Amino acid sequence: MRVITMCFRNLSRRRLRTFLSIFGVAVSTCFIVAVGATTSRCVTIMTEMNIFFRGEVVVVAPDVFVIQGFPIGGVIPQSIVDDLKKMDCVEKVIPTLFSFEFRPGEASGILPVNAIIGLPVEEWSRIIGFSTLKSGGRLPQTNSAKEVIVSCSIAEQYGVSTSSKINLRGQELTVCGIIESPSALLGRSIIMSLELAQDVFNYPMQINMAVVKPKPDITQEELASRIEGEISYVMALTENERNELIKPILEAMENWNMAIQGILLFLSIILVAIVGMINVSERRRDFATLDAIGAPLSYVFRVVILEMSLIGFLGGILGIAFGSLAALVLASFYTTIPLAQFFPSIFEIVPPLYMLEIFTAVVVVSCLGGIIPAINATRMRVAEVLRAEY
Amino acid sequence: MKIKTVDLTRVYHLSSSEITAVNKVNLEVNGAEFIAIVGPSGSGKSTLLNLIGLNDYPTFGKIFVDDADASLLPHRERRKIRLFRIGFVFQTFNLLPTLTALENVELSMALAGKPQKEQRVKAVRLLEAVGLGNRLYHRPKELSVGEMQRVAIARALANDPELIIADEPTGELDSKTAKEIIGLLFEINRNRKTTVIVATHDEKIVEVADTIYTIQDGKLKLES
Repeated sequence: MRVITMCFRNLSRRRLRTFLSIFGVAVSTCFIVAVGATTSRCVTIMTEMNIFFRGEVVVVAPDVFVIQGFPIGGVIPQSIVDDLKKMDCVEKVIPTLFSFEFRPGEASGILPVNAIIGLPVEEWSRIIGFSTLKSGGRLPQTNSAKEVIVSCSIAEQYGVSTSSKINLRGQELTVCGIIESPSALLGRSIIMSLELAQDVFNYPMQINMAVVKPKPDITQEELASRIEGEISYVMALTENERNELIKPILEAMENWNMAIQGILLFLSIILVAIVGMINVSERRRDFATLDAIGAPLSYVFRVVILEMSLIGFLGGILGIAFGSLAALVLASFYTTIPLAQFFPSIFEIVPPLYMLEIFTAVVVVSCLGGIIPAINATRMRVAEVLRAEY
Repeated sequence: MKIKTVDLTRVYHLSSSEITAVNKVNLEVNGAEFIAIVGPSGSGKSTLLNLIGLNDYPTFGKIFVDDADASLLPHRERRKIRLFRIGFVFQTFNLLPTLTALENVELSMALAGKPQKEQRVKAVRLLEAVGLGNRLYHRPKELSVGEMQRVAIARALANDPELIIADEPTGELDSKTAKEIIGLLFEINRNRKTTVIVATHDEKIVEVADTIYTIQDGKLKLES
């Protein structure tokens, strides 16, 4: 008979114990997946923000917190753009206005949204890149047009289509396009002209960031230094400085994630080892009999390891299923997007490769937890076991 | 299979005392014998059988299997001898509880590397031979004690051993079933020419044995 069938039957001898140990492993795995996927999504979003302004210097108000290329709050006068353009080492300046706002419950609007991005219409490509618009859509034509592009996710959530009218902070705007983008940031954005954004958010002639492209003969560092020297009350950040700003946050998130995963995997090892030792000590006679009838030590070892891996296998599958669901619930909770909308993109939130990695880790950990019980099982000798019984 | 022991001794060390379970036993077993070792509980019968069956290491003395010294063989070599040349029948049957009668018998053959088809055919034949043709798919807990011991005997025969070691095989059985089991062991000895060594205090076994030894305080004595 197949060893695996025997292992299943052995585990089913103590159903409650087996169920509890599988449940324990599943809970650990669930936490690992939920915490890991959520952390990794945050890290991905933050890292992704930097791809928009590679090789450029961003100018923001002093002491503004900048996540990669996106400032959180803090405005500067739009006249700074003219000052920047006058500098001989500057090739191009793009004024932008961002708002990361959550306004659940606003009566007649499309809010909450994650990000509203305003920039001159001629610079759309800087943000949209290679993303496409759903058929029938187009980009806003002029800076003064009250037209916006809405991300696919927001459109689905609020039932918006091309040509729909939306109400944003009391202004009626026309959706002229729906953007399809794999980007987590663009997936939750409303993009409009800078002029319109200033009008909607009531920031007349104000921006919160200027993206400055240096001329080829000057480095980002030199440009940033000159900007800070020549223009008062601004902070100029190079790509490296932006990375450095966010680095401790990313590192802390990843370290905590690793620590949590490590602790949970360690607890899984302990759980599996304890269950394994109880199983082995309860079946001393069986293992001693196997030895007496000539079973190789490797066979006995394999039986125990296989039983423990089955616990890890089943616990891992359950844990990944529940963990993925928990990651969706967390994503839904933090973004206020309905849970149902996340289901189709489950593999974006918890990538299959990540699932496979965690599953492999859990099965390996279960095997490791089974090593001590398996060694104990191979040491059972019929002479000693029977003598102890009598 | 020839077995010879020379001053075979097994001493157990308990917390503050030493117990000599088997004391300088000299025994010679030639092929196809039916040997009974009789003695009261704690006299050393099981320890002697464990030593002969290579399930335990002697403290002193030697044990020869076919004139080769097996007393200090490594575990792997002893395991091979147990698997291919010795069959064990225990007082408490020691069947694996999660396996059916058929699977318990097949397991010994699987461990010996026999093909699955051959395992199945032979296991069915052996179980039919011990009168359990209609209990093939029953697990031990669904069998009576007599049936369990028959399965254990079928398992012991699975790899056509030259020696069967039975440690009080009738100890847990009623007299009628015990008689049937003794008959079965006797038949195996006579028909298959398999050496059978039985530790017992069952008079009925003593009656059919070719050679009878008594054991007292670990010392073995030839009775008849």
